[in-house]
Amino acid sequence: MAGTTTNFGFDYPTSTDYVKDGATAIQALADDVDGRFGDITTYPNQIVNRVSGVSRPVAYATNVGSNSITGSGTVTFAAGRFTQTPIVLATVSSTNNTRTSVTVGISGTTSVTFYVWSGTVASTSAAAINWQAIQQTSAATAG
Amino acid sequence: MAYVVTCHTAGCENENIGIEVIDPANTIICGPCGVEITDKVEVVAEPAPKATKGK
Repeated sequence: MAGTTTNFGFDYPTSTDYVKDGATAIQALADDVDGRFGDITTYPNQIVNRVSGVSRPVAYATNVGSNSITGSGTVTFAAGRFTQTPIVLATVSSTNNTRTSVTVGISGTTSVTFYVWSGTVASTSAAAINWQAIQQTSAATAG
Repeated sequence: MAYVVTCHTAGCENENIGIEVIDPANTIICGPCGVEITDKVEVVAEPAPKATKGK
């Protein structure tokens, strides 16, 4: 077992190693890969980033967008992306600060409605809304 | 009242895929491509099946 890969340090045999040690070499490599994928018992159906022995789950599904909205508008997510209603975060991108806020209205697995405000009045001008929708686990929105 | 909306933008991730929207609001925008969707079809709930007498 003379070599390791550059990025993750996975073990691999060299050409001078004995063939009889092949099974052991393959098991070592399999253990390296399995360990890198982390604790999928706790985090099923997810990519898990395991560093220094600690498993950190990557969100099950996300969708990010930037859309121009005047007053209110419903934005569709990428089809089939979510199995649970995601948490949606949104901000207004405005250079003149006249569109002061955006609120998140009805949300589901397929779409979300945004409302853009100038103070307490619905905005009559188009505003760029930057948003992110997150479903943390396969079974639940949060996690 | 639910609607099925369909984006027809060529090359869009959601191209020609019907997506059910609960709140159609004033404007519906396709998230992946940013184009306003005009193809909206109201979903009419199917009537409940009538009970049939068994023989």
